[in-house]
Amino acid sequence: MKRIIASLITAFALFLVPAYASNPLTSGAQTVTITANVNESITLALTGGPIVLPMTGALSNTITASVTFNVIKANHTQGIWSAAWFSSTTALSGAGSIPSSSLSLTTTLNLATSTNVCNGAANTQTGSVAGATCEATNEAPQSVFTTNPSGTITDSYQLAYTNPSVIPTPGAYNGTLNIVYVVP
Amino acid sequence: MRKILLSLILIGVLAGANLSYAGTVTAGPQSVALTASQGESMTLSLSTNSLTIPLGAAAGTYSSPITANVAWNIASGHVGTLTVGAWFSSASAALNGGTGGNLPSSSFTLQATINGATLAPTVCNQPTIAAVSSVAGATCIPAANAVVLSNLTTASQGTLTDTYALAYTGALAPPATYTGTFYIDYVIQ
Repeated sequence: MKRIIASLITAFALFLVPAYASNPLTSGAQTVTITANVNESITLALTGGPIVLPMTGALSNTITASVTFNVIKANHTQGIWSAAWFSSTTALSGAGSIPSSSLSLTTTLNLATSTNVCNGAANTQTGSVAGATCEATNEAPQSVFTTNPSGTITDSYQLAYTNPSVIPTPGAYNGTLNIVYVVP
Repeated sequence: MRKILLSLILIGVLAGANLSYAGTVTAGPQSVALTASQGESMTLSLSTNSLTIPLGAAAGTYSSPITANVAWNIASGHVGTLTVGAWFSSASAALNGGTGGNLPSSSFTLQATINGATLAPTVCNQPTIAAVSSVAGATCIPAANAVVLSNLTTASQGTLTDTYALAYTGALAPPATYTGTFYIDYVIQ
């Protein structure tokens, strides 16, 4: 009888040894929380400079502005503005001085060409200078924006001396034309 | 008096004789059956559970790598394959940016080093890997590269240290913060 009990116990003990090897074994899927952020952006690249201004009244060489933007419509009620201006009403200086009012800027913005004397009023959207502004334009009003507009703008700029009958003092003249694109 | 003395001596002799019976008493050794069982195990730990993928101007740049440490201790009797999977939870909406919309898994590319081999960069639009139940069209490892080992048929222990990095390779995304979940799993069959 003792032997029978001992054998039963042994048999029971053998059943306790697990038989697991045939089952798939998994590490359990681990998760990684992914975060990616895209900020609003607008970039400007100018090519074709420097500007060489003919004192004959002819148009200068062309400056091309390539603008890339990626913005959220709801954040910008005024769309995209551009402006070109001199830092002061004295546009060029050197042997003498040339006022901004003696210069005009011919632009092709959004495929539309126009010419303006550089004596315009200050523009609050772009921060242009009073009396030395050549142009300030709302190139893409918010109304034309898609929900999250992104794209490119390519504009061109040429300067001309508008007072060739007044011959400046011979010598070199230097100045700076500012061009900016803003999404207020 | 002689009788008394003789009796005392006799008592003393008898008492001394009794002391000679006080030896070690034992029940004898008893045996206890002892069993131990070591279950199979497989573990996976990741160096990070949070990852930032460059977007915007930095799109196309790989994230910092995730290091996956895998360890196993198996019995004999398995088919012997170790399979890996890495995937997003959705093909159409791997990451969600709220008003920015969804970024599909096909806009992401995985660069992985598995078992010492650097895989070719793979777009995360691969078919499901059945062993790990990865999501069809949102899986980042080609089926041809999913089986890492195929010789685990006998009892063995082992480890792997693999790395995973993700890059956004889709079109320019609208400005927003996008979030999602990426899965990594290993299975021995």
